[in-house]
Amino acid sequence: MVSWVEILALGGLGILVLIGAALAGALRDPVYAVLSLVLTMIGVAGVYFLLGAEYMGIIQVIVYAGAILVTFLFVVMLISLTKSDISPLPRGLALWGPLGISLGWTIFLLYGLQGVKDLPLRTQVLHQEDVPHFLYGTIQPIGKALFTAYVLPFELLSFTLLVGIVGAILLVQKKPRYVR
Amino acid sequence: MSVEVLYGVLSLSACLFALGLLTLMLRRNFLLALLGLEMLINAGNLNFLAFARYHNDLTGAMFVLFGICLAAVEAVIGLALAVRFFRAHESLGFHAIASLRW
Repeated sequence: MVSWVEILALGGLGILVLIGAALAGALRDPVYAVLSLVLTMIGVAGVYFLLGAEYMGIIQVIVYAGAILVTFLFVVMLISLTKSDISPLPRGLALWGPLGISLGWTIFLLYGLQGVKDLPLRTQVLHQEDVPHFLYGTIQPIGKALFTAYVLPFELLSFTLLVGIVGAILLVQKKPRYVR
Repeated sequence: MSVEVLYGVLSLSACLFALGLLTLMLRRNFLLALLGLEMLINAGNLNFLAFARYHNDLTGAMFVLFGICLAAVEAVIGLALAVRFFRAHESLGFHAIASLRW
């Protein structure tokens, strides 16, 4: 059964995502490039909502659009990167080569994706009990999984974040202590 | 969730991946190439979540959660490197970064 509302919403969000990504790849002003990537991230969050994973959509908006890209913007303004620092897009073979590669890659992937229609609807569920449909996007099953089956990756990830923070502080010091 | 929606999300993710790859190849600036990397990570996350939802399984959603956190770490380290490099060389172009080779 095809739900046309879902397909239409997905099409609209997809156009939003792709326009944002294309602008981020083509605009010369770095501030505008980062801001158009925010558009992409919000579109991706919309797709998450459409898929029924609301928690992931919220995290996408808060962490990606709200934190990561704002940090990008912050750095662009901190080092005052302006339009004149950005070289324009290359011309000739340096432009058409990568364009051809990625276009061919897309066509190859879209062709290969035809096989998705033969997938069985339910393969085996990898862990624990079934998640009820109406609970999927909420934090309850996610929190339960995070503190039972995925507790080790979760803790390792928090350690990775700590290492990232320490590394960033160490990197941007004016006179690093680790240089003798 | 129907297979048509799955196909749509996977196609969108393929196109987003291609655009990210293009940004990574065409931009001659470290900071803007990092933007392309963010697009690639998002394309991967979309794939994970589409299949997780299709099979009504949480594993893919967990991967998305961890992937977002790892993208944050990657952005933090990349931006710290960018700030440090810009202080020393007054530029973030790849022609300047190529001087790091030895």
